[in-house]
Amino acid sequence: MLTLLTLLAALPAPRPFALASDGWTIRASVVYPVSGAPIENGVVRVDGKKIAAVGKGGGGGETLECAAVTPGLIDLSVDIDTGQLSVEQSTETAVRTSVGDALDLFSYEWRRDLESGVTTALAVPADYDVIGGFGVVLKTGGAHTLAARQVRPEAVLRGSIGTQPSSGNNAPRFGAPQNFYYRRPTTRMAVEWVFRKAFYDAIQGEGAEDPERAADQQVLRRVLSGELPLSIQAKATQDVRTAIYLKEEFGIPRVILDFAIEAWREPELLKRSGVAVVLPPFPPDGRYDDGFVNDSYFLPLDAAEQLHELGVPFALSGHSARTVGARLGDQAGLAQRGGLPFEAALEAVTLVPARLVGVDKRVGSLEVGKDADLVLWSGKPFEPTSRVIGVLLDGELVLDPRKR
Amino acid sequence: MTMNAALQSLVRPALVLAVLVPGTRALAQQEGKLVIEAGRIVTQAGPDIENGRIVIDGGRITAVGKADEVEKPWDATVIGGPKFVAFPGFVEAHTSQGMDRPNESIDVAPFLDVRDSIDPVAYFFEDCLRYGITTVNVQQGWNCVVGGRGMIVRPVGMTVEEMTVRPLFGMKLSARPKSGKSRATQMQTLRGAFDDLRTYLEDLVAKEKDEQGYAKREALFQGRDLEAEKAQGRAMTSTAWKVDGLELIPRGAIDERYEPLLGLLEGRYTVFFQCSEPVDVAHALEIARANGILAKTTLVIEDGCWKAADLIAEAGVPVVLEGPVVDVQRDPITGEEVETFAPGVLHDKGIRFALSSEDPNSRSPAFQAALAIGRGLDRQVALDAVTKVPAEILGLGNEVGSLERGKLGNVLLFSGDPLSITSWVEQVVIEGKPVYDRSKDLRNKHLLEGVQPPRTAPPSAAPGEDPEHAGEKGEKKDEKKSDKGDEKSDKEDKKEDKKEGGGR
Amino acid sequence: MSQVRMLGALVRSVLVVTPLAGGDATPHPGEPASPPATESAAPTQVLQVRARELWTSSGEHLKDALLVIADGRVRSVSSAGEPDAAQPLVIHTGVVTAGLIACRSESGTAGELQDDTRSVLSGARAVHAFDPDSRDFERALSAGITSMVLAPSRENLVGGLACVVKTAGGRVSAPEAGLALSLTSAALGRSISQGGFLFGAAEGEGEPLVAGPDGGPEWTSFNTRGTRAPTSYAGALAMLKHLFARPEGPFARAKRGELAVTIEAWDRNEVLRAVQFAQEHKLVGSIRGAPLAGDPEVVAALKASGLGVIVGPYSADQTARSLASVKLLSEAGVPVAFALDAPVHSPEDLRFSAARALRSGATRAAVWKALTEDAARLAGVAETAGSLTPGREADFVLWSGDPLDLSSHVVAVYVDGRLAWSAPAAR
Repeated sequence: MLTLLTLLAALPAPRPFALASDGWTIRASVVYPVSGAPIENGVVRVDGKKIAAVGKGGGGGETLECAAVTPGLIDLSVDIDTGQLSVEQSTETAVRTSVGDALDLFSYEWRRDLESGVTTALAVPADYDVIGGFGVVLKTGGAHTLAARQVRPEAVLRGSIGTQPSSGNNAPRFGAPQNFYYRRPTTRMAVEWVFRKAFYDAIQGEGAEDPERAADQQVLRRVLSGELPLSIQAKATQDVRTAIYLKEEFGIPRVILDFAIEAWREPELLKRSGVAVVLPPFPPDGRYDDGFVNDSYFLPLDAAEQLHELGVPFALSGHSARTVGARLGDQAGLAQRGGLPFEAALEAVTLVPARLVGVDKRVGSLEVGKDADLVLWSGKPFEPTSRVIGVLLDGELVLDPRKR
Repeated sequence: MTMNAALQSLVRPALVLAVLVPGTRALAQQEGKLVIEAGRIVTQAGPDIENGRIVIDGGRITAVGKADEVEKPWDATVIGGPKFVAFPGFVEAHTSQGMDRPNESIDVAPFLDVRDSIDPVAYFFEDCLRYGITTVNVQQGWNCVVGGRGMIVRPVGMTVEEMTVRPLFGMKLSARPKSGKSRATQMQTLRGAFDDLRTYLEDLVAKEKDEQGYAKREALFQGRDLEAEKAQGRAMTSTAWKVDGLELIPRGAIDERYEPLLGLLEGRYTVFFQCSEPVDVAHALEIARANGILAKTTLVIEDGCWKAADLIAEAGVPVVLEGPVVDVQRDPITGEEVETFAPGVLHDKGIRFALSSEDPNSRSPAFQAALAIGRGLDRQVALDAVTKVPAEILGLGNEVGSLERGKLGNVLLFSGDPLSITSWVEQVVIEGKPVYDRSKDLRNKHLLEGVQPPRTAPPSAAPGEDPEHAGEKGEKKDEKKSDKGDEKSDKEDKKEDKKEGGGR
Repeated sequence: MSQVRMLGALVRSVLVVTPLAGGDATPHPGEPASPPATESAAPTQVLQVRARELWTSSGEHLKDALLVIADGRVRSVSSAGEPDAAQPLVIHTGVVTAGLIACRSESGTAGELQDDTRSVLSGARAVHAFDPDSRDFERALSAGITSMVLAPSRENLVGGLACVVKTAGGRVSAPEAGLALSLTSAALGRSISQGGFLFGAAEGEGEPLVAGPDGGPEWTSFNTRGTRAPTSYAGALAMLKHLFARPEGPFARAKRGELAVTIEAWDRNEVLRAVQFAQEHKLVGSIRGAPLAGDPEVVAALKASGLGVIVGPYSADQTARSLASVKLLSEAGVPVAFALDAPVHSPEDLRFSAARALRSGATRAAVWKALTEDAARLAGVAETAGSLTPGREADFVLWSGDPLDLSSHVVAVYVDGRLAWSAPAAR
């Protein structure tokens, strides 16, 4: 009995139940930091909300094992809450409104994106206005308030060129127009005119005695100075051209072409203008139908590879696809099928999108001090034979690989 | 079998036609043997073979093994190489594509035959080759009650005869309501179809019994040998319900509109029973049991039907999974999304299932199998679901589904591991004949590089004219032009492309 | 029917009614068995009520209580006190409680609380829209409701100023009881007959979209079509921020905490947005709607903001999650009250909602507070109504039994010390 007691006394005191406060240690056959070369049999240490170490050794807290770990994926073109209530249509240039005021963070679609590995997203107002307002970069999980989730509140100013801002508007017929839908642009031509007028007035200070207009112009001047990137939806070849002409006319430093299906048709313009491109999901036969007018566009499977060869910065997007096999991780696989190298595909869903919207100090790669947003895979990332088995968001385990 | 001019122009002279198995037709052969070499052969019948060689003669595999163990005939054509991975051609267990229209407005039409509506040049068959599907079971669409007979085809050939592997194979029934019907009327019509058959046959027998004398006099008057005809009647051999006295009726005398349904009851056709909701599974099994056709039934199930897995397992029937591999549904109470891996559910219950390429997001059986493996399905089970199981469902278990001696020479050459997203089907061989080479596939080039294939221009382009500038000569256009070509005709090109691309 | 005859009928009915649970059918010794001949309940006079049970604000249930009214106000409440033989006395064998208060109703307004022409009507006052002679009030009285909050509709971003009225006598307790705001999708992108701008023409400033020959709006054959600003949540918040920046007017008063606000918000994201807006501008008041206010995140946000919640009315197929809100909010200390939405809803729905909340786990005390005290608080009339304490206005109800039991009915209702309604004699 005494021997037993002394033996028991000699044992170390039992460790308290390992809480998240102890952090996590993720061991993977391959660690893909993105900011550096992949690490075989690597270890990522998470402490609190941040990454504490990336390397080969170390431990502490609870351990998770997987075949591969990457940074959380970043989608610059999500399709959540893009209804009519997300954009103010009583004016075609609703400059100082923000989509953050319209998001429903309880929507299940955020959870769907989170569980397929997308930890950070750019939400923008729906493209019914020529200038729709501010877009917001936010995490796809966490408490259901914007304050808890947002990474960058006024991340981009959103604009749209093409048929969408002019659809639903009518020309006045009998007498004077009855409501604002009758005064808005009905053609691409007028859409471009509204754009140019807004920027032109901002430069000239036209109408700046009105404090509201002055405030709007202040925002536009931030775009002109390069402080605020301009994200423009530009699907067709002609829209891509128009967007680039606008960029060059006003010297806008940072322009991101979103859902740029046909950007690949204008390699010289892309290169010379220095725009960045966000590619939409790859359709199976290359065809995209614009739901608004009878336009139909073509996106070849090697579009990403073409942009990569040209040196044009580009990001891939999943656009909140519902079906398994079409989400952001799968798009990275399809881009590789079209010839894009694996490393470039990985960058196009992590560090490149982070840089484009200015959040690369916090997310986009596995580096010490960055947010602990990690995706754990059951095999090589983006292959159909592997899947997302675990997700950490701000150091919290939101998808548990041990329960798969 | 006579050959027509079209066939003659396609095949080399001195072809040899071999009749393989009664009921199947052979592909017109090229003279000589084919040897396929590959860095790895996935046989689906044992371990993979490194640096392997396959020899195909007369449309069938005569040898499979390591290259240094299998002799290469001196007169063989050799294709492939060390960078390829060989795989058996995929088998499509059920599809309603490749036809003019998949459905008919008549509710009960067992006398229809898809042979009359298969379109050999449909885009679908072209796509089959791209994805490596070498055997296709074409059946009527789901928008029917009793749909008609289908057939098994190979996706090459300029005529239906050339494509035929097994004609008059399978009959389509649907528990899923036809448009405009409720489930109650669908079931009523299904039951009614069999009831009508029964009544018809009983009437026939009764009339024959009543009118023995009349029939005799008719036959005499028409100069027919009534006794000989009667010898061709035979008793009904169904396992569920029978009409006594059917041997009195020569089979030839049975109305063509009913005869196929009788054939169904007597086990002549595999039944492909469409189910879109779990309740349809129960209905389908009820009809199958009531008419003794359960043993020949295969269920074609859509999303959500995995919920009826217990019923399916109990009935012991195989299924073709037409829905997506992962079924995504919203819980009506919590509003959250629930993802269910249907093949996993089916496999856990011991149900044999085949994956199908109906999902528009991906037609590729390799991709479907890869997704299933990613979700936890055993690798062999996933690969079987696109080769062995559909082959068995089609009654071709000894013919296709694996690379073994004696089976048909349907072989795919992949550029890498078939389950990797970066691998392409580079070449396809059907019954020993190379029928697809990706390096020569113009549409694939278009998809990959955005380069419009020449001679796929809209009719408005004059022959020899660059389709991107179609109609520019001699025509005033209001639109602004640029060096890149007229945007309006670009759009028209795309619209025309879309029309050509129909048949999806 | 004169007051006297009514009172006589009442007393007789009280005496012959069989009490529900213990209680004396016979009058107390020493009291007149027949009603006094003098007119009672005139404002200068005193009225006494003896009740088997009386509910006070602190949750006490006094037995054999004596309630003394004078000048239309409560003078005293005591248990087993001796009545003044010279003053009229009403003997009630059931329960006496403070009158119920319905938040957010449209009784007596006949659709006049919904104005489509503009999204911001900050000067509009509901008090000008109600008809004191409407029969809606009698129906409300028969359900035991003595005060109601009449508020403009939720289809305007800023509907105007709500008011609190008594259900008898047409008395207005509070002409400007609160500012009605709406951050719900019903207020966005509404069709009207005239267009509006994001900033400017919202309140008639600037030009109307179509000018007629005399400068007023021109009505063409298309005058029933059109959409007004704001069309989005972002636009709504931008407009509100713009309005709240004004130095004078109801918005400025709300920012100083002098005027309560009621913000309509239904989905959880709408509620959180509204709470955040209220906190930014230091507003006091309540949220109306919020069926899922019981969600832990929403409760925490509400508690931190100090706002109350006006829930209901609860229908028969209300989901369990929303019914649990009253319980969860009261446990967290967030004031709750019930809305009525009469005349679309019957006034009986107030007690029905309370019963449903009770069945889903809320305590009796919490539910009773929601019907009376907290309702008065959120309506802004906490000083004068909501409980039977000395100094408060004498609004009380005589019930045949436990008011939270739906099988009890209203026997009589007194408003400002005057008999306002009594149940028909023949039962």
